Amino acid sequence: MIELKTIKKRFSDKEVLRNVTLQVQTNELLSIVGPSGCGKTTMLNIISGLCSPDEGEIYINKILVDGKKGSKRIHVSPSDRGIGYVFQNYSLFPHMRVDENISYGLKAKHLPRHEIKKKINSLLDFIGLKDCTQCYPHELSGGQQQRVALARALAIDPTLLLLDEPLSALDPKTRESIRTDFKNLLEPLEVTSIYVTHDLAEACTISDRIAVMGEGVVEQIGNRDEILEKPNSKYVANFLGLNVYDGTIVQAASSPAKVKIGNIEILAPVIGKGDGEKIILTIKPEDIILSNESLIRNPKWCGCVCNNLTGKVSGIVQMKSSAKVSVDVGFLIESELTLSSFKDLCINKGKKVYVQFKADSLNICQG
Amino acid sequence: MGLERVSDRLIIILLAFACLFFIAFISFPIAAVFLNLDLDMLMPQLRNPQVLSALTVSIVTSSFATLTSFIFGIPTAYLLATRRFHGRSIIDTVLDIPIVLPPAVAGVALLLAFAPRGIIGPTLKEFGIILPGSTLAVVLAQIFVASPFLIRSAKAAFENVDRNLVNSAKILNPSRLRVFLTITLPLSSHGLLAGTIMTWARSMGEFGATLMFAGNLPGVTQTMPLAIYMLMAEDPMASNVLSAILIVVSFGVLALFKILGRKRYGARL
Repeated sequence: MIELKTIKKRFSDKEVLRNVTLQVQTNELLSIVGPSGCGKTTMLNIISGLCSPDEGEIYINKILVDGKKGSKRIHVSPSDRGIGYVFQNYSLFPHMRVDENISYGLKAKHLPRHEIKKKINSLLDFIGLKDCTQCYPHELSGGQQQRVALARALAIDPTLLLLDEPLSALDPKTRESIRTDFKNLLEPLEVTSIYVTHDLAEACTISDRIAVMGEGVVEQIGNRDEILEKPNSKYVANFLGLNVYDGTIVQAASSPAKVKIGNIEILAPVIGKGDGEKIILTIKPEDIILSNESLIRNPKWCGCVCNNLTGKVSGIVQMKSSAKVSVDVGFLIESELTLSSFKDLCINKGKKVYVQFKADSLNICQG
Repeated sequence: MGLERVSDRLIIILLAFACLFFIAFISFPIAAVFLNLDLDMLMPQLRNPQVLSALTVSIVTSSFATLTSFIFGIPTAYLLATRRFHGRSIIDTVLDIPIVLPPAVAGVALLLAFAPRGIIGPTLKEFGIILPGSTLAVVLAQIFVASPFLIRSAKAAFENVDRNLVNSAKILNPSRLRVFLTITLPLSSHGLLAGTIMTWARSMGEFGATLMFAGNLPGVTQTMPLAIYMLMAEDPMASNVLSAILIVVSFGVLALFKILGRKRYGARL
């Protein structure tokens, strides 16, 4: 188990980590997601011992590796922490062949030659690169390099595996195909792992739990559904790409409650709040239905309370398999449609559309 | 469109003219040395004792100067490249001074520091060491003038080693020395070699500081450049032969420098 307690780190005048507290259970794979510059890599470097925290404590399997023990400052060196680290650009030693790269940590431990050879063979088998033993890193594809980096990290039988955006150096197509491949490699390992990425989809595919980081703090930590369905802050909701609104409760007693966003009144499932209280509402773009008719009859929505609004299309972004349409209903609301729905609706900028969403689809954030 | 094409051509012609002018300016004097060389006189001149001793002094002193610069320069360069500390940029600048300092000034500075009447000269004299007029003085003058080339090149080579590679090694290997020997050193070796070669070449060509500090004693402190200068009046042919030898050595060193600059260790570094 890995435990970080109130970790603080400052680089010159910028506070990179602010009171980060985190626990990773044994054999758990925790993903840390967040935008560039939010402190993800610094956190990994601190856990690995490559840099020291200014304040706070780090425990690996309940052993203090960084922090204060009485008046004594403890800093266990990186090589004594039992950590395997896969760097963002793999950091394979370019002047060493694949087998030399994998055996680097084993040789440093002065293991017998036959044991090193056995280990290399089993790891090459595991990553499926038995034919590439004598290759130099530049002779391998990005995906193969990433596997060798993983094998090198695993060779020392680490207590903790740290992976710093291991797929980010790949092109989007390869990344998508390797994502599942990578998960299949990691799953049977039974090693506690921390996986850093800025790609939420990658985190959702690979990890058991997800921690969302923002500006040096862990904003929310939970499993996939907790994060996606119940973002606990405006920051997390924005990071997930949700519609986020500041609302005021106008009638808490009714069920669902009536909430005003700007001058527009909607129905939302508010519990335990009073009239006049300010709340933050979020809703996923894919939960917003657009139509050309005033009322659509969706059998799935039968018996549900719906919000029906009208507005003008103010922006369209077409992607590979979907389209994001912004509609001004008194406030801006973004809907994500499949490309076929988008085409069926013949949506163009300035067109009047009907906007519908279930009251239950709305989530109330803490702040 | 037409006007743009004409101006493009004009620029290319001007660039080509400037380039040709410099090629001619540099290569003509070099060619002149070889054009004036009497090949029948080459072998007898190579057996000339003064030429031979100058060549020996130059090679020996340059090699010692380069070795000493390497032993002290590599750790210095590594420290400057990998550590951030107060006064780092001042040290960096001080170490670069000999590159821009006129060699004669370097000679005066060395004399004022190490000559028997200099600052630490009397102390050295007590130990029986009198530097001016000794071969050791030649080596010191060469180190003073040439070592910054090694430090500069080595520092750049160390700085270019990807920090993540070193960090990867640190996580897997508890020994800092082993990380240096197995990762940092091989990955920066082409830069270190290039710096070493440049230092040796600069030592071979050193003139002003050597003349001022070590003097011009044949067989003791007279290096090739000094011999060329002395022989210019009394035996121009010998001077010419020595010049040709130095040009060939310099060209070889530069060629080696360029090759090593491109060298990769079976991989893209």
